[in-house]
Formats: sequence, structure tokens, C-alpha cells
Amino acid sequence: MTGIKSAKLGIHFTPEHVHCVAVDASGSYLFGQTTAKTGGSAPALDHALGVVLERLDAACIAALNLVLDGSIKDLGTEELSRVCIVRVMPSDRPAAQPLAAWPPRLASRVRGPVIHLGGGHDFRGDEMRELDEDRLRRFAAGCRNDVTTVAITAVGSTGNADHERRTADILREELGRELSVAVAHEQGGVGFLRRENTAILNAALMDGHRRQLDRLAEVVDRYCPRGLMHVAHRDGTVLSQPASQREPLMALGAQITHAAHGARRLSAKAQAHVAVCYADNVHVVMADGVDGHPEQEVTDDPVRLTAESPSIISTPWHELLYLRSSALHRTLAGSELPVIVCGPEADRLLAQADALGWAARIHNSDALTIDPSLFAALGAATSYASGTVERTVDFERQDREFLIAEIVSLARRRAILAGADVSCLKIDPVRITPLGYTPGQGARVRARAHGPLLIPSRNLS
Amino acid sequence: MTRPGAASTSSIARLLESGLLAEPEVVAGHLGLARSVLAVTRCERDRSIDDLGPGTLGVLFANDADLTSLEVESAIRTASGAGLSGLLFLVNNPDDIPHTTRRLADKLGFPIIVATAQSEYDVLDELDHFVRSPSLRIVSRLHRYLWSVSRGSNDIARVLAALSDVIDGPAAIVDAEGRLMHGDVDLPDYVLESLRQPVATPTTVDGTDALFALAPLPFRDAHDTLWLVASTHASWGVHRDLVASALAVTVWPVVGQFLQRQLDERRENNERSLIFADLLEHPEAPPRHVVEHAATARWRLFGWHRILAVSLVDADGNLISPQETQSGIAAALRRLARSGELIERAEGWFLWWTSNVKPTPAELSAGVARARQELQTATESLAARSVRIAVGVSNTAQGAVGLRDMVNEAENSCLLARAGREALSIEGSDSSDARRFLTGYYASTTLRDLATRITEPLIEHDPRGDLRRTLISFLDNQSSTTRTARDLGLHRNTVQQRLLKVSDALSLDLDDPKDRLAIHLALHLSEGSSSP
Repeated sequence: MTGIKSAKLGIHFTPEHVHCVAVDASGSYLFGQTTAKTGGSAPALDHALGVVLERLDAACIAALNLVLDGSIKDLGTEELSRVCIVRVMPSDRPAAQPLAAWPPRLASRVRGPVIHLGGGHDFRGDEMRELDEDRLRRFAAGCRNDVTTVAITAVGSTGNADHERRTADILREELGRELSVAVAHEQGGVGFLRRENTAILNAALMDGHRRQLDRLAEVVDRYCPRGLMHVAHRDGTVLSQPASQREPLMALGAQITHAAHGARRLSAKAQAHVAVCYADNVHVVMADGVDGHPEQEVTDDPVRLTAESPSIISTPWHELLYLRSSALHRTLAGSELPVIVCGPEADRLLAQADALGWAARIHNSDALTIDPSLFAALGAATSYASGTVERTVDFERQDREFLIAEIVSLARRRAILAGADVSCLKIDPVRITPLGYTPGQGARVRARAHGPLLIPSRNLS
Repeated sequence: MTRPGAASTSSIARLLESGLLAEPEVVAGHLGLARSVLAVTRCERDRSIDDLGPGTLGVLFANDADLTSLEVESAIRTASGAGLSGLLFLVNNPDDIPHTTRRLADKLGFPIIVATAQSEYDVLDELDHFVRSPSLRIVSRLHRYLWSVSRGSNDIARVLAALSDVIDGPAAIVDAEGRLMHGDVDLPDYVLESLRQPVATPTTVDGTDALFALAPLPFRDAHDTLWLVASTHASWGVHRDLVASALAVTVWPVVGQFLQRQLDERRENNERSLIFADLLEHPEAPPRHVVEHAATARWRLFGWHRILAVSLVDADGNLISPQETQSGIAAALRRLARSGELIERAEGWFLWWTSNVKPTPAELSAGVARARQELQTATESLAARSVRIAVGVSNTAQGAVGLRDMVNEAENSCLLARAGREALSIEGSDSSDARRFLTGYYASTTLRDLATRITEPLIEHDPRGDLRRTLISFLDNQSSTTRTARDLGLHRNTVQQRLLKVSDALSLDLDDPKDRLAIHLALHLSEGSSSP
């Protein structure tokens, strides 16, 4: 294929195949291909890129966005590390122990040394109790040869993350710079337990994820010396390698949102629900902001997390026709937006559309004639990068404009680290949710920046 | 060879060549080294990077970023997206930048440079001047250089050391043959070629890995040009301009030093001349200070003395004082005087040799031959300005009285030599008595003025001088019109016609022997103004 100056690849790994889609600089579909997956992801990528480069000049590939296979539900325990869990809280007697609501097998695989450490801040960022550094150092000394991964969660870290950061610094001093650390404030979310669960899972996955990405990056470098590798995030965006290494959890289950993104892009319907049909489930990815439930989060994850993902309603096939009172039916019934059907089992859902009462709403134009299995790869190829920051603040005591500007600035930095081009960054309207149960003018502020990927210039080569 | 002053747009690569950074290392993004740099600005933290303009080289100090952290990755992405030219980390102990960060910079073609931290504001100023306004940088460096030079003595070694410091390379003063006079620079053959250019002008010569800058010291005599030369690392526009400008500035303190030395030497000469004059005035009983000086200067008054009196005569027959002479004749005289004394006088110089035993005639002849050989070398440059050398050679005599006599004898001989027409005229004490008769005649200013007035009508009638030349040739050729025509390359009739015009102009009868003798003497006396 000649005349292409810049192209991006979306590469979707499934258990049996590697789906690959190439788009040009404007995001227009160039071609798609599917190769068999034998062995691990790195050899599969090696094989897939070898085939792609028969059709495309390696020098024109500016980005390779990978959708990794796997989901939280199917999480295998063999790739998980034992995690040292550090809780920083003002109370010496926690109401709930870490991993309390986790599936026992998963919890026992992940649980490492646990410490409840004095410290923490209130929602405004005021210190509630001094960080007990001496105890932390004694604890670290006691598990020096036993810990490679740590998850740190501090009370009030959405208002002030100093104790989480200080704890991480001390542990790195005591246990070495190579220590893998997941700090909860980077995952956002107001709920302490959800934030902690997310941090623990991220920590457990971190080493395995890093090794996997290193292997994949080696293959990418070999074939595409100028191509930047990104990893699909379950919120429908992509992350640079170092950013993804901090949030491995978010790489799981990303295929659904990316398939929805690909379908919307191909059908030119930005506001549409997308039903992604796989062999076991139908996943309906709701259009953002639908029906006044922008934060509605319906998921079948076994652990309650603070994953920033669009609203996805996953329903097994056998329940689809019979659960007419389900959230899926209720949500779709109240919406006028079209529904796009895609995925390997798309035909199966289309056949049932009449029975479901969705037939009139189905929007599947001729543009959707590409292999339904390629939609996740297509979505990844055209994805943006984003950064989201969520903090609790008290506007009564802190300058409102300054606080918002600071949070927006942090979101911008996160988006840039995720791979967004700083010159094209856009900021979503900042969401400010009053916290009615707090004194003063407590609020939860959420800022999100997003933009197209930073890509290398060909002029330099 | 490149003319100084050709400026170019700055780039990362050129910044690295500038020598402004200590131990710079490009750790990633080599593909982007050709990126233009329009400004150099410090980034306080990586969040301020996107506030910098495109084309800026962002500088981070040790306190601004931890090289091993994701901050650097974030900084690279921000800077690259914002169109910055590159990032420079000034750190004392550069940590290992992670492989993933290097890979990112390599793929983006975004240069990451690590250099040893120096005084941060100096470095920022220097780098910014370098890229933003090269001329400002030159002014800044030159200002600093002049300040350092002006603070101490103008000793040449110190000036050269300061120059070496500002241009980052050795500097020296050499002659046109490349012989080192001060300092030390290794000059290859192709640079030596440039020292021999017909017209000495400042220039730069590009070597394979070095730049040579040459600036002539502005002395008037081109044959004795001295060069200020410097060698520095191979470089481009701005550094080249700095080197050329620094050399142009440096020639003046160096020349000042040379002038100072000349002044000192002249002062010493004057003092010596005065004492010598006292000695000649009182040879029988020299004053005490003269005897003391003679003793300390190793003037052996009791020995056998021989004198050479040297004068320079211009085209008008006027004497040129030693103060107005050029280094060519002065150098020749200094060489001659190595075994004796060189003493300035109003009419020129005395060269004075003393020996414990009476020199043989052969030694005296050899001395004259050597004087002729040395002074002949100076005649070429003097001839270009129609200046002749007249030399009078004395015999030899003993004691202070003998010295006075020999001085008189050499002066008289020199007077005879001044009447000569050659570029170098040497008259000795053995000249015939008949010619000695002319000495007094030549010495008379009154007669000389009269001779000039007598011959003036010839110039008024024929400003080109044809009549005068014809008359001189006619008289020198014993009144033979045939030989005169042959000597001048004219027809005999033309010579005869000219002689008729001469007779009319001067109211002379050239057939009368007295008239012929009178006009012959007048012409010789005023020869200076009419010599071809």
C-alpha cells in the first residue's frame, strides 16, 4: 500500500486470534486482517506485524494501540503477585478488613503482609493524624525479603495524597527502588474500599503486566522503529506504556468499549448505544450521559472497583429475552438513541431484534460491512488518550478558581502521560458534585482532559 | 577559507558544538539534533513546559526533575507536543534515564541532552544569547574578555592567555613565516600559506577538526607583518564570529605592547646618543658620567675604533630622521650592530665597532662587504618609497680622540655617499682627494639653495623632466650627443633639439666649458629633486 504518510494500527488480542486494523492519519479505515494466535501475545504480535508490513511501510506506522485479552472476571491467579497492603487511616480499628468482599481464592492469592498505619486526611485535605513513619519503617524492615509489590491507600487521599506519597517514598527507601507501588489516589474515586480494591488489584497485576508490555514493546521496536506503543484502557481510550504499567487493571476488558468506539466511528453515529455481541454475553455500551445517569455503572466485575469506564450492561444470551425488567431494557426503553449491533455474534442479536422490540432502533449502515471481529481493533486504532482526576475539596476554605485550575492541570498532565498531544488537548466540562454530608462547601471535583495521540513526525527520519 | 561574520540558525547540534556545555551527552533523540533552537529557557517543573514557545530548548536543573521518574517521560511528551526543540538536563550526577524514556525520545526524534551543571544563570544566559541573538553573545563574551584584559598589565603573555580562554583554544604571535614569537600554536602548512598573502587581512581557515583565525598586527611595513593567530575547535557562524572579533580586539593591546617596547628602546637610544655626543665633544677629558656610562655599557674607549655613518635620503634629497624609518632598515642595522653599538644621530645612525687590536685592511674590507650585504636587503622596501641609503665608512683609530676622528671621517664619507644615485651608496675613507674636495661643496646649504634656483627653469619649462634628464646625460657623457641619444633611446636630432631648449631656458652656452661645469655642479647639488 503506497502513498500512506502516516498510519496507526489497532491490534486486538483474543484467545484464538490477533485482529489488526490500519487507519490513516485522519482515522479512515485502510484494511483489516486476522491472524491466528498461537503461543503468547509477543509471538502472536510478531506474526501479525510481519503480515501487516507486507502491506504497509513500517516507517509510516506512528502508533500501535494494543487491546489486550482477558477480563477481570476471568482473571487467572498465576499472573498475580502477592501484595503488601498498607492502609493509612486515623482509626486504629478499621470497620472492614482489606479484601473483605473478595472471592476467597483471589483474596488468598493476593494477600500479603497488611499494616494499618496511623495517618490520613479529611475530605478538605487537612491532616487528621500524623503519619506514623517510625512504625512504617519497622514494618518495612520486617518484611524486607518478602515484599515486591505494595498497595497504599490512605483515608482522604482524594483531598490530600501526601501520606500516600510519603508512604511510597519510605517503602522505596527501605525496600528498594524496584518496588512496585500502586497508590490509591491515582485511581480516583471517593469510596475508600473501592479505591483500596483497585489499588490492590493494580499492584497484584503490575509486575506481570510490565513484563508482558516489555515483551510486546520489543516486538514493536523490531518492526516499527518509530511507532509508539499504547495499551487500550477500559474507558475507551488508550494509555502509553508507562501510564498503563501504573494501571494494569484498566487494560482488562477494554475490548468492549473499544469495539463500541469502533462501531460508532464507522457508522458516524457518535451518540448511539452499541451492543457488542460475544459468544457468552451481549455487552451494551451506553452512550455517555444517557438519561441523566452519567455515572451509572453496571458491571459484572467480581470486585467493586472505581474503574472509570462508560456504562456497560452485560447480559448473558440466555437472560436477554426473559429479563425484560432488567437495567438494560429499562435504560434502552427510555432512550431515543439508535442501537448499533456489532461483535462476532452480531447476527445472532440482529435475528432477535424483533423479539426484543429493538428492531426500529437498530442502526447498522452499509459502513459496518467489515468483519465484526475487527471493531475493537478499529476502535483502538482511532482512540484518543485521556487523563481524569477526581478530588474532594472544600470551596469555603480554598479558592474555587485556583482549585479547579489545579485539578484541570493535573488532568492535563495525566492525559499527556497517557499519550495525548498537548497541542490538541481538550478539557471536558469540570464536574462538581456537592458533598451534602460534609460541613462547609464540600464538593467532589472531576476533571478530564483528552486529545489525539502524540505521534512522531516523519520529517525527522 | 571563510569570511568572518556568516551567521546561521542555531540548532541543537550547533549548540553542542559551541563548547558552552560541560560534558554534554545526547542520551536520546539523535534524529532531532538538526531541530532549530530559537530560545533557551528554564522549566521550573514539567507542567510549565507547554507554556514555552515552539523552538525553545527547555532546561531542567537537578531540582526540577528526577531523571528516573515518570516526570521526565511526561516532560518529553509535553515538550514534543508543544513544539520545543529539545530538553537539556543540567545535573551533577546524571542518573540512568529509563530505557522506556529513551525509547520514547528516540521515536519522537526529540533530543534529550544531559550535561554537567554549572552556574545555572550563567549557562542559561550564555545558551540563550547563543541561540537568540548570536551578536549579543559575542558582545557579552567580548565584554567579559575586555574586562579581564583591562584589569591587569598588557603583558603579551597575559593577553594571549586571556584570548585563549575566551576562544577556547591556543593563541600566539608569529611572523609571516610562521615562526613563533609569543605563545604556542601548531600551524599546519595550509595555514602558513595564508600568512603569506600579498595583502595582510584578517581571515579564518577551516581545518578538518579545527578553525584557525589570523589577524595581522597593523604595522605599516607589510614585509614584516606579524600575525596574531589562534586555533579553536571546528565551529560555525557564531563561534567563528566570536573568534574573529576577539582577535580583532586583541591586536590593539598587542600592538600597544610592541609600541611600548619601541618607545623604551628609543628612550634608551636617545640617552645613549646624548652620552656619545658628550664623548665626542670632550674626547681628551670625557665627563665623569660619560666615563661611568662607557664602563657600564662596555664601551672600550681605549680600543681601536671604526665607524659607519648611515643616512637615509628621500626623493627630494632630504635626510630622513631615524624616528621616521621603517623596521626593515632598523632590523638590518641591528643585525649589523650585533658585535658593536648602534647609536642614533640627527642624520641617521652610527655603527661603532671597537677592537683591542688594530684591524687589518682585510678585516676592514670584510666589514664593509658585510655592511653592503645587510643593508642591501633593506633597499627593496625603501626603493618603493624612493628612499636611498647613504653609508660613510671610516678608517680605524685608537682611543677617544681617535673615535672622534673616525666619526668625522665617516660623516664626511656619508656626505659624499648622499650625492650618489644608487639605492645604496657606500663611500669609504679611501675615496679620492678630488672627490673629498666636493664634500664641503655638498655640505653648503647656501650653495644647494642656489643650485636649486639655477635649475628651476628646467622644471618650469618641462615639468616631466625630459630636458633635465637629457642635460644630465649629455654632461655625464662628456658632451657627446651621440652617446646621450643612445643612453636615452632617442634620435640624435631630438637630443640636439632638447639641448637648444635647455640653453634657452637656462640662458647658457653649452659650448662654453665654464657654463658646462657650473651647470654640471648645480645639477649634482640639486640632484635629489631631479634624479630619475
